[in-house]
Order: sequence, then structure tokens, then C-alpha cells
Amino acid sequence: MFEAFFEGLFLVFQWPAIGFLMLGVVTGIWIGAIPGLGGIIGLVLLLPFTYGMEPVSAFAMLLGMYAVTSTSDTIASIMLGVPGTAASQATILDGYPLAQKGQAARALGAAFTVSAFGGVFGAFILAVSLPLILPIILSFNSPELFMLGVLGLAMVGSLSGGSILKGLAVACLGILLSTIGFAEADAIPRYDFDLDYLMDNLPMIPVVLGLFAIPEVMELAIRNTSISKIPADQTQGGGMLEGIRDAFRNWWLAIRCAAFGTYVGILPGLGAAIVDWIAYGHVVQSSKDKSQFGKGDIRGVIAPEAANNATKGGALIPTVAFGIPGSLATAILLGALLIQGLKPGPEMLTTHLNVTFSMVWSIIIANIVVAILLMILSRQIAKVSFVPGHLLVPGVILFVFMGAWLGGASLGDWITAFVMGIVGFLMKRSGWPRPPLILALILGSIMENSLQISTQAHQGIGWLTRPIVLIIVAIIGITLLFSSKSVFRPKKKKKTIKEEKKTTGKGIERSPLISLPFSIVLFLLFVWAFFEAQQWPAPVRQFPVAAVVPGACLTLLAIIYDAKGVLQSVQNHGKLRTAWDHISETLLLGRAMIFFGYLLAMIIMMLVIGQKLVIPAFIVIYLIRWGKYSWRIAIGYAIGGWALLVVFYDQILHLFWYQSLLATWLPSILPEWIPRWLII
Amino acid sequence: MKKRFEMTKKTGIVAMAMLFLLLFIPDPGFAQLYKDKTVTVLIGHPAGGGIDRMARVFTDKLGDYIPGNPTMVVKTMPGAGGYKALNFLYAKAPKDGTLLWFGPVQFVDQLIGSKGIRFDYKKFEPVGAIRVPPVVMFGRTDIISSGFKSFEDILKADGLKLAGTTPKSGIDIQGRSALELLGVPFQYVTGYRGGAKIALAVQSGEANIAVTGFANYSSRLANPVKEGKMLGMWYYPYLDSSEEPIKAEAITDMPDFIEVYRKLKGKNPEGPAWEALKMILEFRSVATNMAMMPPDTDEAAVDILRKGWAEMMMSEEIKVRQNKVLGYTVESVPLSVTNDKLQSLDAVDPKRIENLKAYIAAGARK
Repeated sequence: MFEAFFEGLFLVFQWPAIGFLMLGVVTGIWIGAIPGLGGIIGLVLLLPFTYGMEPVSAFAMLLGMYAVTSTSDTIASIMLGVPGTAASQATILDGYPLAQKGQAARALGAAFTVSAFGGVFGAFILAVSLPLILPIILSFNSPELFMLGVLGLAMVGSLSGGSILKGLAVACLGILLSTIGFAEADAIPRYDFDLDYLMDNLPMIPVVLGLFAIPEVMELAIRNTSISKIPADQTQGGGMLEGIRDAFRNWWLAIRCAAFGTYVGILPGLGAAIVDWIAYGHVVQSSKDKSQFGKGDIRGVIAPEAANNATKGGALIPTVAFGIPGSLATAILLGALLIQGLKPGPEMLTTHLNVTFSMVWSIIIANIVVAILLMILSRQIAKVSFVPGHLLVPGVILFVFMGAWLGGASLGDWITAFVMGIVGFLMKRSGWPRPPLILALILGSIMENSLQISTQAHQGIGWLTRPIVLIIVAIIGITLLFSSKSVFRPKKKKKTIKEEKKTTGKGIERSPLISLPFSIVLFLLFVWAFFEAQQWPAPVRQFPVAAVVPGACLTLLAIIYDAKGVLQSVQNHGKLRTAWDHISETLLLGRAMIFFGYLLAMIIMMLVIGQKLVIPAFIVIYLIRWGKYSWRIAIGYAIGGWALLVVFYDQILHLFWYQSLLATWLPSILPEWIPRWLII
Repeated sequence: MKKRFEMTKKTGIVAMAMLFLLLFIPDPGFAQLYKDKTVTVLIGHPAGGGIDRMARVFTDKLGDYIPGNPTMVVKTMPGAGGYKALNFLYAKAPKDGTLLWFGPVQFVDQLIGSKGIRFDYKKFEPVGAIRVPPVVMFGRTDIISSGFKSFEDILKADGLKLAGTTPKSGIDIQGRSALELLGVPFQYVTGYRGGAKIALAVQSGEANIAVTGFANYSSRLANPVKEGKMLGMWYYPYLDSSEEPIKAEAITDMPDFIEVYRKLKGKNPEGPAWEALKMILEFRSVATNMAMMPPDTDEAAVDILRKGWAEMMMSEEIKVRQNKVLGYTVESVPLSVTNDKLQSLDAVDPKRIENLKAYIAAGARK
């Protein structure tokens, strides 16, 4: 075994394997940093190149790329508040506030350090615990997966930012959204409005990008500020070295979260999707001082980043050794394995053990190399937080909408991102927490699927007595106990609104005048969803009904709570109109509406001229009209954006573009020598 | 006579010279149509999966067999179980010969009017049709206490749990109908998302019997079978024109289901379950996967691609490539056979369709 272990290392360092590994690392940095891409797209991109390669080089390149995406995805999460990939969604909760405080370099330093640690830890732990993996996987059947889903939802309390009532209601909304499309029990589409787009589940990427990215981008646009609220010359501390020290100071937290990541990562269909949220929930619950979570607590960056890198190694070994892919990405890796003529199974742990270890080493080396590379670059990366917001907005909009488009190459992806952008904006302004929605959306379909199978395979509720289910129930109980303690604990002296705004830019932004209409709409949505569900057979309607009934009750309570807040606000300002004018002015609602108008115009124009022209046009119009930049800068920026669309998204990713009106008649009049892909 | 011979000789030389010249003149239609062009290969399933892998095996090489050697680019458009890509191919795809679809064909879905289908298989331009090795019924050997050794033991099995995806899946229909025909009681557990999850469910004991594709059986389940923990019980044969089973070359270690039924029951299968199963087998027999172009695609382009596809499928290199990447070789089905069946879709007896619909409905949870 030791011989194979070191032979694996030797194989990776041989030429050309090491060259391909480095190529994979560089590709992975790029793929991870761009919102909406991520490891799966990277694997799809590189897979065809591996057909003619020998196995060690092929896997060095694939794993080099795949392993580092959950390190480089931290850049967008911390710098822009936009999740680079699904694995770094939880990182934005504290990473972005740190960047707003001018401490982006610190957050990046801590994130890169624990990412490298998590990746290496995951690979090592898996390598030494190989004999345990198959029994673990086989003992987690549908009932256990369902209960793990419930455990994930129990974290809602920690993700609700102090408003558990609204957090739970939002979680119900997330579950309701997860039921869109064909039901698990029968081929009956739910809430699909007879649209092809809604026949599948709502795609995650457009929802996440809309919910989190668009409100943050709009913030930059309507307030015309840089990401950091504090000028570069006034920042105190917050350097990369401090971040590395933070990582070492919290070594025990990093180990715990990396262990979560490793072992949760091996569970097929569940692990990688929620591990960052579980890690975040864990750090909030296990911390004595929770006051800074959501406002820029470095532990909120360390926990998810240590966990999400550890899942990569965790998911790989069962794929290779038992042919059990833990995620879509590992399913692609399994395909790569078969393409190489290697079969998953005991041979990979005996005859080909050196190749298996070369994969483990590829992950380890890639994690270390990327951490060093990104740390060298982090000082430069951190400067983005001091760049004027108007210069960032068009670029981020390009990545957000193209990232959403990657979900399914459908107009629906853009509309989903846009609608979720409005929802995200309203939630942010009215104190409705957004993370529970994402967590429930991820878990909803997994839970419904697991529950349906559990009740069929284990006769009704017989599965509730399985030993691992009981253990998870106990953990859920403890989790809820911790959550309820924080709810009922006497509130400490509230910071003044001014104080909060100074540090995080939040605080006054939460208004009951916006929350009340939002609560009412949400309540009506739950009621409508309940009656709509009545037309379906029992197994099809059970799960949505189980979400909308508590959702409606909780929202009703929120309406009462918000109505009190509105009355208070009216009392403070004399009358409703004055209160509304005040909040509208403070929150720059008018400018926000205009910004959404810009986005809507972009979507409508896309139908006419297509994405390759509309996005550059948006860049020009935004920079000149809104940002007041010169034509030269606007045109130069737009050409850069267009080149990115044509070279990267078209010629490298081979995307399907929207068939615009222009695309239907332009080819017939365009001279032969002009390639169509430059324009349509 | 001499003059006449001279004339004939001259004519012969001119004719030979013309023929010789013809060899060097490029065919303007064939060579130029695809010269410097890119053909997009559309796949309606996620990248990296089995369909994607199979598509790349064939289409990456197809360009070499088309005059002008176009670049082949694979693009995926997953969604609605593959319908999204087919709807696109039917209504929105360019008809200039630059788009080719490849994937599994589910004619039965069209017959039963599955929701989301906005296309008509009959209208597409078929380019090539293939049959993958048949699907296999497998199960745990501990489903009977003395150990499951041969297909005869299925009659002794008790407490069978058949894992499946959804009642309308062809694979699930094959699993249910076979057990019902044999009169073996079983519990049908649906909801597993694909072959990997089904294999895992059977491996862990949550279910104990299932039907799966040959690729899944021969790769993912090879070790449990070798260790004696699982067993391939029978495969579902393709049917010839007289509805007799065709022996599968790729599967030698188990009998086909019709053979099993005849041995155990001493007669030919019949009844609603058999009608449902037969309909699935009948349509799978004329193609499991196809390469197709949009309706009304430029005829010259369709001809070129058909010839290229046929030539490629006969080459040795594509067989080697299939064996390396897929682990098996597929069978080519003559396009005329597939096309005849496709054109007869509207002529299928409505009673058979109603029977299939009723059979699917009976599998749904109540």
C-alpha cells in the first residue's frame, strides 16, 4: 500500500502529468472565479481532451481543475457577494460584509488557507479510511438521507439572521419552489403553467444568482459606491496575513468542518449540495458570541470554505472504488474513468491502486498550489473592493446573466434570474432572510424523493425506527434546542441603526413598509398553491401541501408582526404617505426601479438582437447614461465584454444562444466571409 | 473496318480520359456543402452521462466520413427527460444541415401522449439507427434463503422489492410485466433517479431486484456479480419481424425473458402485461438510439450524413472505440426498418395504446 501511495506521487510528478495538472489548476482558477460556471462545466469542457491521454495525465488535468474551483469560487463570493459556484453560497454571508468593511484580503487569506487545508485533509482522510466507505454509503439509504435533509432544514434557525419566524416561512417557500415540475411520485407536472421550462425543477444557478447577486450589484449601481464602504487608506488591519492567522487561530473549527465535508461528501446526492450550509449552521450554533455573524465574522468564512473543499476528495473515492458517484461532477469523472478503459471496483484498490493514489495526490497538490497562487494574487484581487461600483456593475451583470443562461440555455433562465433579483431585493430591504430559501430549495426535491422511496420501501413509517435515523433525530433535537435558546435568550442592547449602517451598510434598509406587502403576497401565494395542489393525487400533492400549510400560518404571523411595524412607522412620521416617502428616499427605491427597468429592457432587447449584441449594448448605455463615463471607456469595455462572449462562451463553451429575431434573417444577407458566430 | 476501329479507339480514349478527369473533379455538391462548416451535435441529456459519452464516440469520428470533413461540436440541451432538445430540433433548429441530434428514442412516449412532447418522430430526417445491448433483470442472491442460483429460483422468491424510476419508464414496464407474467408477488418502489441510484438501492438492500441497462450491469455491478452477491437473471430480447426473440451477442451468461417464461410456464406469454411488454420490446427492436436531423432539412445534406454514418458504422476504428469507451459494440439497424416502423406510428391499434396507458396507470402510487 505504501509503495502504491508513493508510486502515485511519482506518477503525478512525471512529465507530462504534472504539466496537465498545472493546466487543470489554471483552468480551475478561471472556471471557479466566474459566477455560474463551476467544476461541472469545467469537467465537461476538459473531458473531450482526455480521450487520447493516458489515465494519470487525464485525471491530473480533470482533478487539478475540479479540486480548485471551490477555492477560486471564493473570490466572487467575497469580493462581489455573488456565489462563484454552488459550493461557496454560504461564504457570501460573512465574506462579502468583510469586503464591505475593507477586509477582503483578510477574508481571502483565511479562505484560501482553510480551503487548502480542507482539500488536503479530505483527500488524506479518505485515503486512510477506504475500508469504511462502502459500509457507510450502504448504510445511508433513503430514510437516512431524508433525515439528513431535515437536519439541514433545522439549520434554518442559524441562517435566519435573528428572524426565525420569517426564516421558517422562507424555508417553506423554498420547499414549495422545489416542487415545481414533474412530481416524484407520478409523471404529473406541478405549478408548471404549461411551460416546458417549468417541467423540470427550477434550476438552481439562476435562482441563486438572482437572489444574491442582483441585489448586491444594484446596491453598487444605485449608491454609486465601491464594494468597500471604507476607503483603502482608512482600512485598519484586515490584511492577508491576518486572515492566515485567523485560520490557524480557528484550527479546531477548520478540522471539524473539514471532517463534516469529507464524510457528508461521500453520501450520494446530498453531500456536496448542502455541506457549506451545514458547516455555516454549525459554526453559528457552536459559537458563544453570535453577534457578528452575517455582518463579517471571519469564522463564517472559515467554516464553509474548510468544508466545501473537503467534499471533493470525499466524493471521489466512492466513485473510483465502487462506481458510486456522489454528485453530477463525480458522475462525469466516472465517465472519464470508463473512457480510459478503467472500471470502478476492487481493481482500483489493488491492480490500479497507484492510479487511485495518483488521483488523491492530484487533489492534494492542486489544493496546495492554488492556495499559494491565489495568496500571491490576493492583494491585487482585494483591490477590486475599492474600484468604483459603476465600473464593476456591467461586468458582473454579464457574468450573472451568462451564468444563469448556462443553467438551461433558455429564456426562462434570464427571467428567473430577473424575478429572483426583484424578490432578493425586496427580501433584503424588508428583513426576510434569503439563505433558508436556497437551503430549502436544494433540500426540497432530495427530501421529497427520499421520503417517497422510504414510505414505499419501508412500509409507511417503519423506517423511523432505523438506528441511524434515530441518531439523526437526536442530532436534530439538539440543533433545535440550540436554535430555540438563541430565540428565547434575552436580547442584548441593540446597536443603533446608525452604528449598524456605518459598519455594514445595513440596518435602516429593513422596513416593515416593504415587508408587509411582501408578507401578504407570500401568504396569497401559499394559499393559491394549496388550492392548486388539490387537483393532484395524494402522493403528488402531499409534499407541497406539507410546505404551504405551515408556510401560510407563519406568513400570517409575519403579517401581524409587520402590520405592527407599519403602525409604529406611521406614528413616527405622522402619516403613511410621509413614512413611505421617507423610506422610499432612504432606500433609493426610485433608482432601484430604474435599475430593474434597465435589466428588463436588456431582456426584451435580447429577444430582438440576441445576447452577443445586447450585453455590450447594456454595457455602453449603462456606463454612459448611469455611470457618466466617456464614450471611449464605454466602447472599450463593451468590446471587451463582446470578445468574452464570443471567445469564451461561444467558441470554448459552445453555448446555445437565444434564437433572436435578428438571427432569423441576418444570416441570409450577411456576406459569406463574416462568421455568423461573431454576431448571433 | 479500320476506320471504324480507329473511331472506336478514339472514342474509347476520350471516354477513358473523361472518366479519369472525373476522378479529379471534386463533386461540387458533396465536398463543398460541408467544407469549412461546423456541424452541431445536439444532445438532450446532461454532459458526461452515458448518452453524452455514446454521442461523442460516434459523432467525434463522423466528421472524418463526410466529404469536406466538417468540424463536429457536441452541445448539450438537457431538460424534460430529453424532450426539450427534441422540441427544439422539431421547431427551431436550422434546416441547412448544420444540426444533428443524437440520443435515445422513446416512440412509445409519443404514442401515449406524454406531456411535454411537441414533436413528431415521423417528421424528423433519420440519419442512423442503432441498438444497444438489451436491458437486464438483476437481483440480490439473498432473495431466497438458499441463495438465488438460476432463473428457476425466481418462483421461490418472497418479499421482492422492484426498484424503478417512474411507472412510464420503459425499463420499469419491462421489470413489472415480467414479474407479473411469472406470477411472482413483488412490491414496486419508484423514484430512484437513474441506473446508479437503482444499483445502489439493490446493493444496500433497500430494494432487491431491478432492471438496468447492459452498460450499468457490466460496469457498476460487475464486482457484486463476481462476488456472488448479485445475479443477472435474464435479459429482455429484441424481437424479429415474426415477434420471435433475437439472441443477444453481448450477453452470454443468462437466458432471454421469453425463453425463461416458456421454460417456467410451458407456453407463450399473453395477456395485458405481455401486450405492454411486447409493445416496449417491439419499438426498442427497431432502434434504441438514433441520429436525426430537423424536419425538412436540405435533402443533399441528409444524404451526405446518412452515407457518412453508414460508412463510419462499418469501420473497424469505430468498433475499437466503442469497446474502449462504452465497453460493448452497438448494432446498426437498417434505416428502412426503423423508418417503416416510424411511419406506422399512427397506425398502431388504439386498443394497444389504451392497454399500455392502463398498465402505466396501474403502476402509479395511489
